[in-house]
Amino acid sequence: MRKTIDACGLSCPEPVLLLKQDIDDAEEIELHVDNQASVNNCCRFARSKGFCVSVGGGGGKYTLTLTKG
Amino acid sequence: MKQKLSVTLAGLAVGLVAVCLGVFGNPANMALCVACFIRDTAGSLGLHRAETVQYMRPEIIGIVFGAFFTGLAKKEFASKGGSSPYTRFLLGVCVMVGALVFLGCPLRMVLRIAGGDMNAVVGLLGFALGILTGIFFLNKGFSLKRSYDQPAVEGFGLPAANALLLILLVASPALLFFSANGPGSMHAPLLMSLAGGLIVGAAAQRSRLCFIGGVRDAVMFKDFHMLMPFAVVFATVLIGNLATAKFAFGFEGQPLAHTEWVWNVLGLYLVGFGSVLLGGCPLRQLVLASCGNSDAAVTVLGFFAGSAICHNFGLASSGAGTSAGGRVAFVVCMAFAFATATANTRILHKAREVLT
Repeated sequence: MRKTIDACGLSCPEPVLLLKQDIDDAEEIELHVDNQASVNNCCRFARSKGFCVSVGGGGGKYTLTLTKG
Repeated sequence: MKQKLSVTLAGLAVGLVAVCLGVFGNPANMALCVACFIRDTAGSLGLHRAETVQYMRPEIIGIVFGAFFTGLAKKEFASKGGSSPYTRFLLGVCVMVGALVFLGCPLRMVLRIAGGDMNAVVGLLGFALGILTGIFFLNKGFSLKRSYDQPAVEGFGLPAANALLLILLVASPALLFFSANGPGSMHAPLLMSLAGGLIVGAAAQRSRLCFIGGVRDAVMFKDFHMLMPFAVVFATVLIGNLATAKFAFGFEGQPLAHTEWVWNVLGLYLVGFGSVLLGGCPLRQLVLASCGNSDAAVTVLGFFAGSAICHNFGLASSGAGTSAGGRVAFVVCMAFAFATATANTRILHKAREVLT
């Protein structure tokens, strides 16, 4: 199942919390965040859960594509 | 791996700067403290008149500039705001009240432990419990809601204000208040303090250094990498203190500390709890504010207001212990923190939706 999460504008650690809620029953997740700290935190968490991560965007708008790997 | 190295180096940088500033004149076990140094700066501006804690700390200005210029260089500066600013201001006041009950922010707690101050080890228990309480509410859906893009002037506000403070300090110190004795009178040379702050600000910006993030992320996500700077700062400062004969183990007679263990626990409990609700420790708030986050800037203003309130009304603790007013202020702030946490959880929102 593919999911989309909009975590833009949320304080640390809410983006990772939102990801944590959905990561167990998703095959692919598109995650939107707006700062580098959230990119780093979400990438680290997703990788620890066995997902492959690709990061796109920049300039304050990032899209992380997480695929179960 | 890269992030682990980054936080390790940041911890090393903070530890080395603290040791150097301690050797060159900053107060013992208080070579770097965001809460105390904001309090001293508030005093130098006349926001409070506690004569022993008034000095425009260049470290704060340096941290702001270090984070600001690093954020600009890395294209991470962005004007954002609008996430419950008034609540954040008041939580900033609460965190400062907790810090001045204990006498230090989480960074100073680590420096005190590394100096052998066992009162801070007791305080660490409260700090961890406060973070766990914050985690409880985060897991229940606590949120201060989203921030949004803001006009550039909003994000440049705090760095610009600090530029003005630096100009005042260098060009017109007669306008400021400076302590003649007490901790406010103890300080390293201006340029060294400024340089130390710049290093800490830059390192904290690059590594996202946060003293609550370590415990919080370890408990919530089994992510232990942010605990590393805690350990590295402790080890670096411990070695520095042993090498310079500044280590003194025990509870009694510790510099700028009291032995009321209950209040050491409770003070840092409020700091830990409030910081989790805010999304970062006082150092992290200062760094975020320097990179355009006006919610964090409002929180920093809350720190200033909190320190002024504490010292104008005799709420801050001293080496002799806590004050009656400080204990009352603590209860009020704790009640506010719990009310805020409860009112902003998703469970309550859902209940409200059902009712309507």
